[in-house]
Amino acid sequence: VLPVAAPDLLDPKSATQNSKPRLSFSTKPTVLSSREESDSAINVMKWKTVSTIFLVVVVYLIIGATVFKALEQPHETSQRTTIVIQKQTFVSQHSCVNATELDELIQQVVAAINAGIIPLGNTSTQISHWDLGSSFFFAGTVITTIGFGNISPRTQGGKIFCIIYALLGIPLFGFLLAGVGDQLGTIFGKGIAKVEDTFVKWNVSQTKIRIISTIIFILFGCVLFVALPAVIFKHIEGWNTLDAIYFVVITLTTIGFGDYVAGGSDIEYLDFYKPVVWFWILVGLAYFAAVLSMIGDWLRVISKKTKEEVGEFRAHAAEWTANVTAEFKETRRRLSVEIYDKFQRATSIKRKLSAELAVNHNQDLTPCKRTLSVNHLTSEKDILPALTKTDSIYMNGLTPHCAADEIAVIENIK
Amino acid sequence: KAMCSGKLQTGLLVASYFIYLLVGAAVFQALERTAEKQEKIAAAQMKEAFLQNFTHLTVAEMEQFMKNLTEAIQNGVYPVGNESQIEDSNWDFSNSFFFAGTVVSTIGYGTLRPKTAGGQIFCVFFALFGIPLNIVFLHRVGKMLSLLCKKLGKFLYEKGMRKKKIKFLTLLFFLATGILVFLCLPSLFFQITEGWSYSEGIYFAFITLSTIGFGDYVVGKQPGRNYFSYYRTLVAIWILFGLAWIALLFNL
Repeated sequence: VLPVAAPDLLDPKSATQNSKPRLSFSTKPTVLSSREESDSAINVMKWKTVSTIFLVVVVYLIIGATVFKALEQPHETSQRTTIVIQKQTFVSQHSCVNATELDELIQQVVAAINAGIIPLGNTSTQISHWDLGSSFFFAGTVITTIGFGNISPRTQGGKIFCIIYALLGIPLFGFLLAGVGDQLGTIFGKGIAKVEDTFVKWNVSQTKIRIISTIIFILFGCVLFVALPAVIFKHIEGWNTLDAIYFVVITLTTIGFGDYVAGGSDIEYLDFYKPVVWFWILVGLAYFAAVLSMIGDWLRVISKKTKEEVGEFRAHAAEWTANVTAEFKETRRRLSVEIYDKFQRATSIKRKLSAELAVNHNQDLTPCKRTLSVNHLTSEKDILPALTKTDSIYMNGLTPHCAADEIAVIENIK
Repeated sequence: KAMCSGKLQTGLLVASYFIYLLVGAAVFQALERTAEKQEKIAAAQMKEAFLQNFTHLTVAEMEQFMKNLTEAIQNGVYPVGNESQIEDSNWDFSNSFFFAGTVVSTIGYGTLRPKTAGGQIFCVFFALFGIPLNIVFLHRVGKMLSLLCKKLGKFLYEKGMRKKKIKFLTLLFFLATGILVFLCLPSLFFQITEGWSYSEGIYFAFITLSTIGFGDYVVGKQPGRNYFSYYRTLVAIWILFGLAWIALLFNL
């Protein structure tokens, strides 16, 4: 479907079409010559847009990489040094243990931790990660695509089932999210309408009202879905404030690192804790989807405005160039017509004059004279004064008073 | 009446969501619980064996060492081998770039994650702006790819096929080529570079491209393997295009 009816937001072509530059000399129809051409033109536009956005994403990633590296590498280095020292201390303290056996042990520990088992204390008494409650939790991480990863399927059957489960569950969850988002939007809309009515009574402008309702939406949502849960997590899980907020954001954006997981530690949780957490995730995801799409809209508006401005600038530049060229062509045309006219008139006058003179003197126009009149079609001013001084103007034997008239005619042409 | 049916619809969806989760929970439990028990026993035995071999080690010393080790591993440091072998940083530029990519695409493996307060705060803001940016990008790429789809459809239409058949065929075509290029071929590639089995490769590819990203399988993390310089960058490009393909599938 060609974007003829509804111009694409990020398509600069629609921006230029709206401004309709005035092209005085153009008689070309504004309709595109063929569908093929317009197809390829739109493809080019879309390719440009995509590659621009791609560049922006790559630059964004590079910036992120540099900042993360600067922030995290020092901590990692210190961690590394610590464990190396601890390992060396252990080996030196217990000289019967040699390095290879220790490495073997370490590799086994790595494997155990990757399987979700912490090899501390009595491992068999640890709470299972696959009891019904935790499996429910895990199933949730799959279909919301959060995927914490603190637990993950280890058996072949588990992995295959996980793939099939996700293929069906993710779209299902998508529908659910859309429905919940709608309901949330309606509830919020009703509430905000009352607030907006009050503002309208106070004669506040439409833009201000919109800004205020957006701010209320963000604040309200942050308190309900971010701040309040963070406080609860801090209290129950024993995290600090930053870790709790960090967990909330990482979960509700579905990134889900898994370093912090609500309900994932070996603590005695209340029975209804995990289901409530899941309900919070459901509603919170809808809220975050709205926030993220709002940020996306802002980005679109910024990019559209930039594109419009670039498009407008281009259109204005094109219009200016077109007008200047048109004016120039017009002037040249008019000038050449005028000059031609005057030349014709001058020639006819000369014919008349020479006819009269021929009656008197029987002489043709000297080549000199012809050259003179032709030369004066150019803008060389120095020729005329020079010629008035020489006798060439009198070469055909014109009497002074006739010459004066002729000079006047020649001056006119110039 | 419309509002009523909307609420009913949502209610039904919520109910089906919880039922789906319950069903999944039961099946996962049935499949995984026994394996987990065995792994726990194995871990306990490992500790026992180690203690038995080195009799003068006390349990307390062992526990302390294990605690240190666990903390290191959970921080992403695998202290295997001597010091020179563990020189490769997790936060060099290439890995940080890969990490930034997993944040922005919401995959979030979690094997690498910010530990400092500054890193965590920056991560939050980086995600809040990066995710919409990523979505806008994928949306555009999906739209562009769907143009190709339409060209194919037009070509077939000119050959005299019916519209429904064309739609079905184009969907099938993109599905098939996508599965081949983004699932099957990379799994073969991972077999060579990571030493995983073919099914493990497919599992990894699926978990990554669906953005679930457990982190149980991550590229470039096998201890003792040599990866060529821009391995992770190549994988990041594969992820990017794979996600774009999925975006296209949603557009069709």
